[in-house]
Amino acid sequence: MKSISQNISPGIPTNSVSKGIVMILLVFSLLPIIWIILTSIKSEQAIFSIPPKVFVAPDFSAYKIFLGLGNNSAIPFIWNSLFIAAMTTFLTVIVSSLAAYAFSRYRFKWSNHLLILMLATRLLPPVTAVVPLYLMFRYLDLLDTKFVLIIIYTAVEIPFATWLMKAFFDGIPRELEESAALDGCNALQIIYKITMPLASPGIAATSIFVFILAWNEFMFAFMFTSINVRTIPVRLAETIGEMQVYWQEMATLATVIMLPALIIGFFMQKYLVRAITAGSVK
Amino acid sequence: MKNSRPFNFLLLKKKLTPYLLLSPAFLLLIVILVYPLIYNFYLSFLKWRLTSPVPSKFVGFENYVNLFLYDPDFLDVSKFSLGFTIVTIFMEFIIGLFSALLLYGLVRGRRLMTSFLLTPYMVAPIAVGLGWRLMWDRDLGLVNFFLVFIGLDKINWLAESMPAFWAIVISEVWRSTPFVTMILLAGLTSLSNEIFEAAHIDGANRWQTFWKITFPLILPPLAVSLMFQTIFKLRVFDIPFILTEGGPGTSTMPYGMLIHRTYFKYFDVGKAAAISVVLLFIGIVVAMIYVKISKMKQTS
Repeated sequence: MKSISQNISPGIPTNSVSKGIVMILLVFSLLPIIWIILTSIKSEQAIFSIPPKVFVAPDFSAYKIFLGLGNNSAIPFIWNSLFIAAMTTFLTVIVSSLAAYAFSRYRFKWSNHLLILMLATRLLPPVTAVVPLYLMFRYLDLLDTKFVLIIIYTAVEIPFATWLMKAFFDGIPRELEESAALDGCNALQIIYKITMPLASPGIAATSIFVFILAWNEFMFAFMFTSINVRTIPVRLAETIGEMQVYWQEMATLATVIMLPALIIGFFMQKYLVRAITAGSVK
Repeated sequence: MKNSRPFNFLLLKKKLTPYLLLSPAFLLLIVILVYPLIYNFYLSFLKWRLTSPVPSKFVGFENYVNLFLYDPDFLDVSKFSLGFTIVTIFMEFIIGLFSALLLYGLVRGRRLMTSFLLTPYMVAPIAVGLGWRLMWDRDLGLVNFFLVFIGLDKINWLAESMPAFWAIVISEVWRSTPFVTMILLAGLTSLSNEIFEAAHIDGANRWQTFWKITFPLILPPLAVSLMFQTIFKLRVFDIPFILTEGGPGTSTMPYGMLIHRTYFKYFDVGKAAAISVVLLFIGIVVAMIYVKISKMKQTS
């Protein structure tokens, strides 16, 4: 049986050679990430040694500096990032779940056009909105606040989140809602009491991906905040601008930034592909 | 009490409900994305420097004329963006297709492998950009270590324009090929096995099966993934920023960084807006071309 299925593969050999190539791809994919993590636990001496050392006695001094309470602590930046990402997730999921529900359950005038329009906004380069947004938020005196990033991230992520959740809603049988409607629930009650609980795995997955996107974001954070609110990616970029390059410290910050995505990537395998390809595969 | 039942049922069916549900999302999109983009058009027709005491003035297409005719930086950035987009997309297409086919061929462990191969796409670009900066470093980098190991000279990757271009290209290809791979893999798994069985029975060899059957069938998802990637290339920011900050000079500067520099360093609102409009226009054109292509392939 196995050999038959291999013969009818779409034109690519499935032998040990291809398994070997997959392994090479794997090493290539993970090497820079592993290298950052290794650098973060190397002492300065070990970092500068030639040839590069792979196995060294771990040195966690940079973690002590950044995760401690001293002057160079990264905790305030981590807190900013966490708060902004969490609020973005909260807002995005509420707003997008309503929109996704409408797209999934109702046939209304222009429903397809509105859906395509929403996806089209995802295609626009967000950087093209920087100048007018900056002027707008300067006028409103909101620059350098957490709010400005939360509201921008929410708007940028709505199309992605809506698309993803629509797919999850589409998988829930309508009959359940119809019987709830017959029992006297109104639209909002049906959404929050019947559909949402059923869609909760999908909503959880969407939340996590929205959180990661907000946590990872650099460009808007770099441009719209300066002194009061700096996120951890901005802090990382700053350390590079300084005179001397402290690899260990930078690698430590980079590791902290990568951590949520690494953990989630591992535990969310099931939803990973769906989330990444959201809106691009029918 | 009994009366409320049919009433609520009607409420659900009411025509207004879907629009009410959509309104918060669209309100946000309009205020934060659509309105600024329209306002941007207006700004691009102004001569307005934030630092100058002269009030803003309507100058028509002057900003665009200056940009296209007299601006060496804009030319540099356009050249870089064009070269960068073509080279990365080409490499991502080849590697993505190849690895999707390899992953499809895996009988066991496909999902585990997939999630490992996806890691570069999940983690923050700014963080992996730093990792690559470490890899490309002249003295400490693994790349130069390898070059010396095989008997070649060290290259100062991030300080010279050609090596810097390739360093950015490879880092970006590394980061975003998983996206192409995933979409192609999804496309491959959605094909029915019978078609390959039929080809097998008809005596097609692997090469023929691939070019005559598989490739045409995965063209639509391929076109879509490449459209997304082309559009993502236009907005690339984090990786060039952390690797070279656009340098040396402006030789590896993407449009986003030029907008940033024009606005935040030279305070030239009109010019920054004009660059944004040009970028937006390119994005829309690319999207339209690919939509056309994927529709053509689907119907033919």
